[in-house]
Order: sequence, then structure tokens, then C-alpha cells
Amino acid sequence: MKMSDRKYGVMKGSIGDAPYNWTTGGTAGRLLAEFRDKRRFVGFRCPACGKVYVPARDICGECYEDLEEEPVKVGPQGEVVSFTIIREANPESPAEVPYALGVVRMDGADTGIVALLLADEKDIGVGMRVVPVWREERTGHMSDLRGFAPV
Amino acid sequence: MAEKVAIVGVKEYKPAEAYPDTFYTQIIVDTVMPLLEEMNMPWEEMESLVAAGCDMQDGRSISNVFTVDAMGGFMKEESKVEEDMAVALIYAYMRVASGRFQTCLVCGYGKGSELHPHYFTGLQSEPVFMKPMGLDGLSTSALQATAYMSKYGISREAGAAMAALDLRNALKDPNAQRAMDVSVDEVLRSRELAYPITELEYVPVSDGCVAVMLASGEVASKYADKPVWIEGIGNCNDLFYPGHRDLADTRCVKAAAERAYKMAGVGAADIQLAEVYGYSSWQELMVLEGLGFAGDGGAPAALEAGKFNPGGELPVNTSGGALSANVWMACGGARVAECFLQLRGEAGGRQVEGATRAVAHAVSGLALQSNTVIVLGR
Amino acid sequence: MARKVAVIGTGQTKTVTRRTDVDFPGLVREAVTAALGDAGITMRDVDAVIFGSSPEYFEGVNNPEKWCLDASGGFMKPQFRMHTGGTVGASTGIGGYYHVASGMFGVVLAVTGDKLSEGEVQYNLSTVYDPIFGRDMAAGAPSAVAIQASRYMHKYGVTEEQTAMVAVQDRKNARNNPYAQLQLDITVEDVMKSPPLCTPIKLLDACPASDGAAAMIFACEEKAKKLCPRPAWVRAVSGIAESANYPYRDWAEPIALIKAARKCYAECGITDPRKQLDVVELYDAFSPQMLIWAEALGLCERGEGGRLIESGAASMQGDIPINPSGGVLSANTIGATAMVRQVEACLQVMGGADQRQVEGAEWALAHGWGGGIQFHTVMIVSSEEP
Repeated sequence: MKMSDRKYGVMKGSIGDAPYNWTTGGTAGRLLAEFRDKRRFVGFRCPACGKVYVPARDICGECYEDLEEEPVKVGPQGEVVSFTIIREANPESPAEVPYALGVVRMDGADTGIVALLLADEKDIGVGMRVVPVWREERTGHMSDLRGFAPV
Repeated sequence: MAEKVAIVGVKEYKPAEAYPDTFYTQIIVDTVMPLLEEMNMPWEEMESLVAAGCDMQDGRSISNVFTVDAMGGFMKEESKVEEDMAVALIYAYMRVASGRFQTCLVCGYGKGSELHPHYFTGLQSEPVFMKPMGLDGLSTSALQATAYMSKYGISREAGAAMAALDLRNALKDPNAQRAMDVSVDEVLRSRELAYPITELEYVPVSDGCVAVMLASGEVASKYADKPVWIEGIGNCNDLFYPGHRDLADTRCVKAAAERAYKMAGVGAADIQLAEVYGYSSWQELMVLEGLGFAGDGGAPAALEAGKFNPGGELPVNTSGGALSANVWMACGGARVAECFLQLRGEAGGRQVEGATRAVAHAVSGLALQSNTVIVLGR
Repeated sequence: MARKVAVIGTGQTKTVTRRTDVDFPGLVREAVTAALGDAGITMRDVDAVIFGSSPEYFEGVNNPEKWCLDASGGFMKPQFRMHTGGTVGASTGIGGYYHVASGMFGVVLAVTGDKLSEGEVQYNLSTVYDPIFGRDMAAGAPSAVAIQASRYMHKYGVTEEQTAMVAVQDRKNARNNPYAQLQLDITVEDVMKSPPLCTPIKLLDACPASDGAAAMIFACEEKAKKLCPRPAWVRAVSGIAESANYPYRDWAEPIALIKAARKCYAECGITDPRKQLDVVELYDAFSPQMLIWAEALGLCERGEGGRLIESGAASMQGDIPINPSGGVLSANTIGATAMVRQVEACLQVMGGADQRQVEGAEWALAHGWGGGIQFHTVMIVSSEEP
């Protein structure tokens, strides 16, 4: 299917003084639009191996195939596949340290997305069930997702 | 069959936390010139150069614009691989193996002190999903460590024990930046950077340079009484986005190792010492499994049993490894350099007696995404 | 005697100022898919991948080859990144050649590209200048090229009108090239009247900034003969580096290019390049450069570049057509640009250059430059097997 038929997005950002307008590509743009408009996750499936990608980047790298155009439903809950508690930040940190990051696999997806875990350190563990928490104001950006909280 | 290719000389500029008074090209000149002198190689006989440098570390785009002369590349057949120099070494190998060059210098360098310690790896994040989460080498290594611990039921002591081995080994390395007689407990109690990784379990950042000279079989003995042969090379890459793969799966390391072993006509059991590179001790454990020195999830037990100790069955990181010094872009080269010295019997107090075959491993990218395995032999 | 290596397929994306429908990996995938299709193979047939792109600041991602890994087909394959500035497209192609010439791999995919539109191009280009010794004065690429052009034109009496002819010819040729960005019908007067950027460089003397990617498939002799009816045999490669700044540097004398060309000619037994080459694709990011490079390549005597272009000898109808593709003046992704020169050279000798085909072309040369106008690469391809 034609790349140009896909919904796309542009993300503004910067590195130091240098400004950027990053294009997101079709499936990523679609996911971000779902964040903004529907407050939900969608996945995209590889027609060859059937793997459902969240977040998707247009292709299945393992099969070297375009992902299917039509998104598939995933969630609304997910599972923490891995996590960490960040205590030493870098200039791009999304929150004040300490904060928790997790790899969360939405139900129905075969891959995980890395996002903030909104929970007490002592409560976080692999296998924990979580749901996405959304910001009130959303622009079609990864940060529309405040993070994942325990179910 | 390809031309035989050997390493005939290595030089490592002593890595340090910072060299604030030394311009980076001076560091390079002070590595390459002495190397040529020590090998008695007139500059004219250095036929080719493959540099390894990083624009974003240098803060200068097209980094080889200014380093080419410092490396002795003026008016020579020159190129640059923008990855760790172990990867540049692969390209240099190809150039000599093709028969078109008799010699080729590989040189990697970096002044990590000039940027925020996590900025270099943080800039590898793609803009849409990763930059907003501030992902970098530390956070992705931590996510990988947790995945590994969880998959195989491994305790936190394991990462600490690997780090302790590295840092104690470093005491015998004159080129160590960070070396200490430290216990597992002390490593565990050092400052936690990102669970489960503590400060002593994570790579420091160093200023430095490493230069390695390759030569074809035809001329190797002209420059080295004991050339070290590059017997096998393997490189492999996994998917980019950390959540797209099982971070605890070492399929990529295994594939790289398989390629290198196959080319060398050897197996893991034929290796007598290994220098491995991960951003944290946790990844070193995973790499040792991927290289076939322990089963999946088995490296901690093998470590505890003493297999990887200096006097053990398969000494690992006698140099102290990346936890003792980490020059971005040259760290893999330091792994190769240590193997070179060991195989020639020049490793002083760290010498592994009678070692004739070694493996140098290096990573590139985040969370062991890209792996290079080089089998070296005498 | 080096192993024989041939190019069995190529691919490129149409260059445009900005693609908003794909991200950088998406561009890479397009070129790769095109090249695989051209060669009639799938990713399963590829033994290794080599990736190239120019300054990371363009897309704002360090180690972009890791980011593009999935899209370049590198999953579970060997892959690494070359980056040599403007020559990167060519050094990656040359790297692809060495992958096969080493005996390590039979079929190798080389892919390059850049998405310049993601950031501010000239700002990012200014990061080439050393922060301590020159960045304050940097004005992107035109400033360095203007210095070269001024020196050259003064030394040999080449006029701005003559360099304007280059700009006219390239954009006219581009009208035959579906992948080129600037397919313009302009006159010398248009060029002379266009706004000055950095004297003597004017707007129409300058390349555009493009989003795009290109890919090539290199194969060993056995695979080339099996898979391709008319491969482009790689007959010589060279990449020589000058220093960015040295005391006796004469900006009008590209000694690195002269050396690279000589080495390649010697390897092919070429003693009269003007006669023995059928077509040349050179890296003219700015119009005076076509003339400087043509002289250094020995296509005419030193200082005769102005007369070369005036005479029409370098046009499609001339005896040494230069840049049938429209050259770099018509499309410049920076990352893929030098590879596109190699791709176009291969297409010529494979007989696949469509409207821009030079009749009966059998020997083609591809050139690239980069850095402080100091790195030069030359690749000679031929339909004649070595």
C-alpha cells in the first residue's frame, strides 16, 4: 500500500539550539493521533509473522514487510515486562529523579512500549498489570501518555 | 580464501576521566606516532587508514575533517566508520584481505569528558517514542538487566560480582582509569544509578585513543616478531526499539559469535581468554553467555564458580574491561589491544599463561543491539 | 589480483525538499526495496548490509544506522555505518565493494541517505567547523566553496558566465531524470541575476537540500553472473584524504582527487580519460566545481574547464557527457549524493539509464567529495569484465 496514503505526523523538538521538525512516519503518526483523539493504544500487525507491534514503525524488521494498514485493537490493560528506577538523569529526562520507567506490553500486542510507571517503587515488579494514564491536554505526542499506573 | 591478516602493533593512550589541557587531536598524534616508531614502520608504509570517531561526541560534524592528519592519513587511502573501532577494524580487515592493501591503521578516540556522561548515548534515541522518555545507555541497560534477572531468576549479587572482578583485575593494568580492590557488597552499596545498576557496575567515561595496525600475512613479520592473527570476525544486529525484542535474549551475540567461530574454525571451548564490552556488568554476563562460555542464564553461576577469574578456566577482562575505562568509539579497540598483549605474552602481571587464542567483543548501540566478535590467535 | 566485484542492482528515491509521509528509516526502506527489486533478489539473499549517512545532526539522532536497522534490512545481519561527510555515499559504496572483495560476503546491500528537512540544514552544516577555530565565522557550505571558487576562477581566468553554464546544463539534464529535484529550464542570464549567497556563488549556482536515499547491491563474480545479465563491474576504487587546513594548500588544486583519479586510471589502463571514459558523474554541489573536478580528472587541461563547458563537449551531445543525471546541482541529499553518482554510473554501463542514457556507454566514472573539500572518492565501473 502507498506510504503517502498513511496518516502522518510531525514532531517539533530541539537538540541544544538546533530546531527540528521530525516526521513520524505513518504507523507512528497514527498511534500518536489515537493518543490525542481517542486516548488509547492501537497496534499494527505484520502480515507475514502475525506479530502485533506497539509502538509500530511502519515495518516488521524481522520479516522485512510493511505492517498492515488497518490497526488492531490492543489493551486496555498491559503488563510490565521490565522496569527500572532512574536515579541519575540526563538532559532529556521526562521527570525529576527518581522516576520509574517500564517496558509495558499491552494485551494483544507482541512488543512493549517504554514509558513512565506511575507507582511507588516498592510496588513495581515484572508481571504487574497496568493501565495507561492520559494527560488532559493532548497534542499527538508521546508525552500525551503520562504513564502507566497499576490496575 | 582471503589473505591472512594480522595485528602487528597496538597503542593505547592512557585513558583518564579528563584531559582538560590536551586537545583531542594531540591525543591522537601522541598515540599514532609512537605506534609507528615502536613498530619501525615508516609512515610511507602505512597504506591505508580507517578511523572510528563520532561527530556527536566531538561536537564537530564530519569528525574526520580534523582528525585525518592527526592519524597520519594525509594523502592516503582513508575512510571512517562511525562506530566503535572494533567495527572499524572489521572494515580495515576487509581492505587488507582484499589484497589491495598491505597495511592499514585503525584508530578510535574520544573525549567523553566534553559532554554530559549520558548525552552521548541519549542522542541515540529516536525522536518520537524514545527521546521523550529520556532513554539512553543507562536506562536501556537497566531495563535489560531487570529483564535478564527476571527471566533467569538471577540475584543482584551477580551484576555486582562481575563488576568486582573487572575492577579488581584493573589493579594490574597500568592503563586502568578505575581500579579498586572492591567486594561484591561494596559494589552493591555504591550509588544506584538506575535499578539494578550501581555506579560501580556501569561504564565510566574516559578521554583517550587506541590505535591498532593491521598487516597482510605477506608483510606482517616485517613489523612484528609475533603477529597476532585475526582468525574470525562476526558482526550482528538486532531490532532497534528496545521494546520490540526480548531484552534478555542474546540471539544477536550468539549469531555474531557463531560467525566469528565459524570463520576461525573454532568453538567456544577453544578460547582461552575473553575481553567483553557492555555498558554494565549485567550485559557482560549476558555477552559471556552469548559467546558460549556459559548456558543461558548460567554466567552468574560460572562466575561464582571461578571460571572467569584470572586463574580460572577462561579469564575474562584481565584488563578490567570497560568498567575500568571507557573511551566511546575506542573501547572495543582496548579489548582488542588487551588480547593482543596477552597473546604475545606481554601482559605483565595480568598474563594468562600460554594463551594462544582469545576473543575480543564489542557493542554498539543500546541494550546490546549490535555486537562484534573477533577471534584472535597466535 | 583482487576478487571481481560487480553491481547487480540499484535503487533511489525521488529527491524532494521534504517528505512528510515517511520518517528517515522509511526513506531508507524505499531505496532498499527499489534496489532489491532491480536486482531481482530478496532480503534473504543479502549476506551483509553497509549503511551510510552524513552528519547525525541532520536527523538529530546519533548512530542513525541503529535507528534505521529494521528499515535497512539489517536484522540479524552484519551491518555498520560509514560517515565521511559528502563522500559518504561513495565511501559506503566503496565499503560495499570491499565487503565482497575481501571474500567474506557474496551479496552485499549498500544503502545511504539523509533527511535534511528534519532540521535547519545550514545550521547543522555549520557544526562541521571547529567550535574553537572557526565556527563563529561559518556560513554553512557555501562559504568554503566560495573560497575554492574564487581562487580557481582567479587563477585560471574562468568567468562567472562560464560557471553559470554548468548550472544551466545540469538542470537541463535533470529534466531527463525522474529522480532529480530541480528540473529547471533556465538561462545563463537567470543564473547571473539570481541572488548572491557567497560571492561568487549565487542561488542558482547552488545545490538544493533534499530528502532521499539510494542503494546498491554488490555481488561476487559467481553471484553476479548468475543473477544479472549485464552487471556493472567495479574496475577501480579509491578514496584519498587531504587535510582541511595546511600551510601550502592551494584551494584550486585538488591534489587528493588528482591522486585518486591517477590510481584508478592506472588500475584500468586508462591513459586518456576523455577518450576512454564514456560518461562521468561528478559531485558538483556548486557550479564552479564541475570545472575544477573535470580538470583534476584529466577530462581537459588544467585551467581549460571554462572552455570545456562552453564547447558543449560535456553536454549529452558532447564527447564526454558529464552528469546526465543533472548532477548534484539538481539533487543533494548529502548522505546519498555520492552514491547516486555511483548508481548513475552503473545505470549507464548497464544500459538502464532510460532518457538520460549515453548511447553505448561502457566505461563510467563516479566521483564524490566531502569534508573541508578534502576527501575525494573515485569509482570506475564498466560493462567489460576485468
